[in-house]
Amino acid sequence: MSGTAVITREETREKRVLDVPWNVVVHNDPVNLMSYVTMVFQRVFGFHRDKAVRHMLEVHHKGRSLVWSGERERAEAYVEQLHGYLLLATLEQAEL
Amino acid sequence: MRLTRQSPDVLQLQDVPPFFAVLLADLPRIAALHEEARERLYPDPLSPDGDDLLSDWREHVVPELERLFASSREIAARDIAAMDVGAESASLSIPDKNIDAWLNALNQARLIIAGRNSFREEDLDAREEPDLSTARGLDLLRLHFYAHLQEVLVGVAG
Repeated sequence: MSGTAVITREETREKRVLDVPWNVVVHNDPVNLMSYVTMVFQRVFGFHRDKAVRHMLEVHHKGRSLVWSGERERAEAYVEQLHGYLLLATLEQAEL
Repeated sequence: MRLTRQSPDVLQLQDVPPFFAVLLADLPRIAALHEEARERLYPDPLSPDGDDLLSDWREHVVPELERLFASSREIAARDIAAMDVGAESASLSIPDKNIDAWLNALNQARLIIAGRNSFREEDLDAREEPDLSTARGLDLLRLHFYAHLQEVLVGVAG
């Protein structure tokens, strides 16, 4: 009975680790143009212009913006795309 | 200097003054210095305490990015090689299908220039005209010129 409980707890812990979402964060960079960053957000994430501008301004004023959260593989693919556009982007595991 | 439509799918940058034609012609050389700005052009996707993703990233993703950036540089260089340079001005044709490559090549060059001069935000926002008697001043002008061209192309592509 107690063995089952231990296994269940381990599985739950493992599942929780796997389920933790990953954040895609874009960092400020004085070189990239605001219009260019906005265009990239629209292209990569399909944001409407207003939302793309909001994230661009957050990057500009606060130094970073969390632009997407979700499963790790997709987050990695987004970061790769952003690097392809020469934006500074990182993956961060969300805190529970 | 003005941007017009040469045909439905080709842009033309016309009346480029000779000085700026030289800066344009210099784009492939600058962008090819990407090893100088390797850390910025191929940044790690995780903070230093990241996991095994880093080694996979460097092994698989970075070579893909290198190919993408090299291809962009080559496309822009081909268009530049075909630039029509006259005594008074030059004109450059950029097919619409090459705009993304141009945006990428211009960005590479701008990041390299900013990196090698350690330009900060205040340098880029400065109102004074760059001192063209210095290499740093010339690079600042070059960076602004490429930014202007990039801005125009974003307007078309966006």
